Amino acid sequence: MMQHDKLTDRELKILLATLRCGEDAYAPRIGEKLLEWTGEDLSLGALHSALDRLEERGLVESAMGAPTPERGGRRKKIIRVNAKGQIAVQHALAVLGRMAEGVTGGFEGGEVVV
Amino acid sequence: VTKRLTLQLSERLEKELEHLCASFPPTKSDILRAQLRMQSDKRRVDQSISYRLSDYSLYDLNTLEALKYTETQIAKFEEITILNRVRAIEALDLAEKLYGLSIEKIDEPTCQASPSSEIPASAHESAFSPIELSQEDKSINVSFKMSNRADTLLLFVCPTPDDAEASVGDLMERFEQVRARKSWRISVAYFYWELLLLTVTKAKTRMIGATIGPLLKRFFAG
Repeated sequence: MMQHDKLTDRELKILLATLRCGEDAYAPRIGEKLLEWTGEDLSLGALHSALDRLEERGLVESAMGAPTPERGGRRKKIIRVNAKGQIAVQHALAVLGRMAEGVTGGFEGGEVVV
Repeated sequence: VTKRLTLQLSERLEKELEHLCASFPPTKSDILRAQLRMQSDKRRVDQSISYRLSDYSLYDLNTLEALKYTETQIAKFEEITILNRVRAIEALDLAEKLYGLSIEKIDEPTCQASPSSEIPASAHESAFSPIELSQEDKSINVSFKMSNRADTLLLFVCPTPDDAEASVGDLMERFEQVRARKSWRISVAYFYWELLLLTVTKAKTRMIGATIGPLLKRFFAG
């Protein structure tokens, strides 16, 4: 069986947020989207740490974007999930999907209906 | 000669910081020895820094001016916080946690211009304007004051100049969110932090480990 890059829950969320941000994925924007979609208020520091780790593992790539006025004219570090990262996300989602298959009956009163 | 001195000072600064961080928390004698060594280097650079600005590229000018700023102004700060990139991004939290300050208690930063240069009003009033260093700006002195506290300088440490730029930009955005929420003004001082950062990172990338935020009190104080 092919070995896939394992992702933590946080890494998976960050990668998904990055993918959904598209061309405008940079740390503050990813953080905003994470807060909006998951309710998780990740500090920028924690986000940068996670992104650095993902980049070291070769799951994301970064490039300097254009400067914007609200940043005092400084450029953004644009993050892009590369092919390896996308495969890791697909694998993680597939695993979650397989795990969830057995609970399609839903939840009733705190009990899992299989 | 100035370029060589710049590099030497950067390397020396790095060694001193590494030494202090390795033995953190530094003892009083550690700090005293570092001060003496730095003062010796300062004197050497001060004597040799009468360079012709037009001889250098903008990047060199930035670096040299940052060094000059460091040399001449840093002694005003009673506390220096050395931060890696991650910590720098969290500077707001740090200000609140370490100093027990809330954002509202941070005074408006002050800018002072030397007689030979004036800060453009737009640069003083807004952090939104792209900031470019020109020769006219070179002797702007910026201090960052906190209520009832010593002046504090945040020295950013990033692996590359690009990381520095992006991190400072991220921080500006973060501060802007706070400013919008708390009616707090952002200072152009970050410009100098970035320059200081670039100065430090120009020599070598390996400087401080993953997470470090020690307060090195009076490290550079004369």
